Amino acid sequence: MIEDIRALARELLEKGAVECVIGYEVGPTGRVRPAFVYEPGEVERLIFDGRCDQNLVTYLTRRNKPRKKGEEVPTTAVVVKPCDARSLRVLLNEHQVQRDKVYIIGVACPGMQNADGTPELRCTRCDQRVPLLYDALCGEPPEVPTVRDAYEDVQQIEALPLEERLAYWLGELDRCIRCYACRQACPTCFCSVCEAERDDSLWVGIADRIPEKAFFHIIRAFHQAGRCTECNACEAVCPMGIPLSLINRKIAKDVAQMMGGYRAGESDEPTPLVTMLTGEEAIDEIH
Amino acid sequence: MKFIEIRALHEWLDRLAQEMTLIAPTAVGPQEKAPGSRNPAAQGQQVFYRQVEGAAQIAWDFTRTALSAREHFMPKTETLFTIETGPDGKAVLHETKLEQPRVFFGIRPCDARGLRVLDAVMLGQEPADVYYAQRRENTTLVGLACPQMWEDCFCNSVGGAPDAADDVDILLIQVEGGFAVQVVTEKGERLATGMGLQEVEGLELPQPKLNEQFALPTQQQWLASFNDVYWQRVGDRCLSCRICSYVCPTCRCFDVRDETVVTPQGERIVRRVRAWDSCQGVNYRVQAGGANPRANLEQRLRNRFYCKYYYVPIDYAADGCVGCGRCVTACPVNIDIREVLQDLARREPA
Amino acid sequence: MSEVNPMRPYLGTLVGTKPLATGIRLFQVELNDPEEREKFSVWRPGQFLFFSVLGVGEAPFGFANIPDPQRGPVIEVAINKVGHVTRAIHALPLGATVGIRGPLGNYFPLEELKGQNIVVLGGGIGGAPLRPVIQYILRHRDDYGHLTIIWAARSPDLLVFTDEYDEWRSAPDTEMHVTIDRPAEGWTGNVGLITEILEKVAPSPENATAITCGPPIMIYFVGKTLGKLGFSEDQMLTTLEARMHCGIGKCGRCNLGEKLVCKDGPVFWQSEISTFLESFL
Ligand SMILES: Cc1cc2nc3c(=O)[nH]c(=O)nc-3n(C[C@H](O)[C@H](O)[C@H](O)COP(=O)(O)OP(=O)(O)OC[C@H]3O[C@@H](n4cnc5c(N)ncnc54)[C@H](O)[C@@H]3O)c2cc1C
Ligand code: SF4
Ligand code: SF4
Ligand code: SF4
Ligand code: SF4
Ligand code: FES
Repeated sequence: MIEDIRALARELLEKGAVECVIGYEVGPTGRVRPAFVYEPGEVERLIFDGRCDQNLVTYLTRRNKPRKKGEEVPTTAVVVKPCDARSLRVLLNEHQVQRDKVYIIGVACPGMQNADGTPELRCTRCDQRVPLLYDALCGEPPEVPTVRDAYEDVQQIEALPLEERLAYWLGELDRCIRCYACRQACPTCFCSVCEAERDDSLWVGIADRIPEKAFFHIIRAFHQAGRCTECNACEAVCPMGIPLSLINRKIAKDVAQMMGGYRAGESDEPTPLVTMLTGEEAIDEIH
Repeated sequence: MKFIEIRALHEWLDRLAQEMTLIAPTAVGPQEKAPGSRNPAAQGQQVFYRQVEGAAQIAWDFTRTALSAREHFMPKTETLFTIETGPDGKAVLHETKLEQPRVFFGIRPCDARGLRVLDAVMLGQEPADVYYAQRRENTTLVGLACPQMWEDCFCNSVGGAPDAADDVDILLIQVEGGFAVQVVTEKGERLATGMGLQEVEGLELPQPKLNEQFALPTQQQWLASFNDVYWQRVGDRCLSCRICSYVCPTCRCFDVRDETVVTPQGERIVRRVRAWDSCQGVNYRVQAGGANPRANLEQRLRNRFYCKYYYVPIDYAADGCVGCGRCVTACPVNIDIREVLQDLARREPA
Repeated sequence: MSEVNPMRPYLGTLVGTKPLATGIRLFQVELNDPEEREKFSVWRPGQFLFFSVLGVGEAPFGFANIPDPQRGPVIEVAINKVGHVTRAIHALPLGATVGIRGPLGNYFPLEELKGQNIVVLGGGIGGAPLRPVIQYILRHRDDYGHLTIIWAARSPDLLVFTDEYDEWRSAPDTEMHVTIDRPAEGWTGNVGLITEILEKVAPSPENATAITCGPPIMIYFVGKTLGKLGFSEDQMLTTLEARMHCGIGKCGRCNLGEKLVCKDGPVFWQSEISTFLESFL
């Protein structure tokens, strides 16, 4: 699989079909991280294995803008897992990324692993091992059981009495430092500036108190309704270890229930919860 | 060498907690999170410096805390003053009052050194910041030496050491059966009188295991690298997520805003607050008229490194980074300040 | 707590206000406490203050006047309505209690410039911090040589201090040129960018210093044009704007490279700006 990705990346860069290939590499201290490869000679940096859990689609909105006024939008190739592909589908549906400006290197996904080698929780409840869209597919579809998320952890929280549920979330939010890393890492939180942002926002203050934090997380959850693809990017970066996926997956579960099984990123239809004007090229803010 | 037994130390801490505010490392959050997670913060409980009620709440086995000691000297949010209406209908300002005396127990040497940097910015030049000053004055620092340098730590490359006593009032070093105690300052002396220290001859101090030391870039190398494409390449990966600033013991940027809050009791409080801020934020530098000299992500990323290693030394005559390694561990995309420093240090000076 | 809290504003009263241009008003404030008034009344042209609407917030503004012994130490600022705080300032009723922090920052070295010809170039609201420069020179008219004032705005309704032009123009050894970017109905004066009129007026660089204030892009191009006219970078002064939250070198917001605009500035020689690591554009 690694060789396939490298060969493809080399070919794309040599042909000049793309400006850059976004994939994964191992940094000098052994940590896996996003890699941006511009030269065919550098494709050996690219790797792919169970440690490549970041969602690289996050970087595409940023690259979908011309670097300088008047310049063309460069084409970017990106390594995409099945879960990441759903995020990309949402961005395509919402006109945040131009299809012809992105070359999708799909990977048949063996599932991601935790630092201790055990399978990542979200991968144990994943039912797609091949991305729903790609320009080229690397790797063989693995023989792993696929399971639809039963949302057991969400149900556990739902089952708590109201006060306990509140206490749970207040306890978690207490640690939130309002860094906004969750939203920065999220591929579908693409507003250039978050409505619940701390800097300059007139909707919410700068203080690090529960109401401000709750405001942000509730706004984010609503804006992610029907759009969150459950990629776990937010939870994976939170420096305070807050289980954010419980919030967004709760909403995803409810959306699926109410909208006849609708799942974000699985079809060409934008979410029924977002209104877009016909012909609207790109929405910069979600409302 | 002075020495205190573990039991005596616990008793002393329990007494202190009765008498004044005791801040110490303590484990916070649910026990079982996602044990093997690739996100270190999600693996289990994190340790924070928080107010504790006694020795039992203290986390003795910790590497470094999730947030630095900064939050107790420059709180994440603080009220500068409240704005009230006097009897004549005119506004009256009430400044935040003095805090109680505090003992900050278990501060790591790098965090204490971080306060040196904050001191330089907040107190080193007139006018001094009165809020920071009063917290500093009221607090006695009891340091806890690191038995070893942890993963990602590089204090020894920036002039620190895991058992440095330079920036604390008292330093404890764990030894067999208790702690060796170095009383460093007069403030420490005053506090130590109540500790019941013993005098022990020939106490052998352990040598902490060090991480490999590396050379820092020179001023010339920093200067010559400012406009390098290197920052674009590192910036490619950066998420502008601000984690690095918020976990850093020496980042001091703040925002100021007035706000009105209504308490659950229905009381309306109008106040001016200041809160942590970060130069990595998109809007950080936007000015009236829309100009933004740091509109590009790589410019913001670059600012943080230069702030630590070039601007702070020039502007405040202090080293801006204490090598605590928090930003290294916490960066979700492995932007590693050690790598950046070594990359720059390898360059030919222009 | 130590005696002075630099984050605490003095309380003052809004004693006067008048419109200057579209979206721009002049505000006059007198500090309430006589002692504070005394302490404060030493500000110099180029310095700035933080103006608080208590309960809304504070923002930095350049002084638009010099302390005037005749009229009492009234502080004047010209404020463009652009956002949260400025909108609240525009909505203040006369007699309102406001907060003032300052005086902050460095100032135009007018003492050092004695005996020189001075060229003052203001663009839009950027004219505001230059008004005290003009006032100072006119008050000490004999100490300075020729004074050239070039005043610009996008359109006539954005020109500030129009009712003072006659007074400035008629001062001894003083010329004034006003221009707007594009033709406008009823406008019979100069049309064209400030750089064009500057080239036309072509003040001599001999024994002269040019003082510029305006949007970043204007400062940049005026600097270029002055260079063409023979001004060296040591003959160009400007005042920069930056995002600010403290004004005293603590909050970190305003840096350009290692320079803190609030503390090392806001007034800089062009020769300093050229050595900045980071561009202000
Ligand atoms: C030294 C100095 C002198 C100035 N002199 C004048 C003057 O004489 N007259 C005048 O009208 N304006 C002046 N300004 C600009 C003025 O400070 C801003 O217009 C004001 O801060 C906007 O505040 P706001 O709350 O109304 O805007 P916001 O609602 O906060 O935002 C509106 C816009 O202003 C920007 N802004 C917000 N806060 C600041 C800040 N502290 N500094 C710069 N930009 C900011 C925002 O990014 C945004 O683009 C000066 C600025 C500086 C730094
Ligand atoms: S990443 Fe975590 S700490 Fe940061 S804003 Fe999101 S929830 Fe809060
Ligand atoms: S290592 Fe990182 S977090 Fe620690 S002091 Fe240096 S810059 Fe700050
Ligand atoms: S400018 Fe950036 S790096 Fe420097 S103190 Fe502020 S947040 Fe930290
Ligand atoms: S923590 Fe890493 S990704 Fe986030 S802003 Fe800092 S350098 Fe960028
Ligand atoms: S305005 Fe705070 S440091 Fe300059």
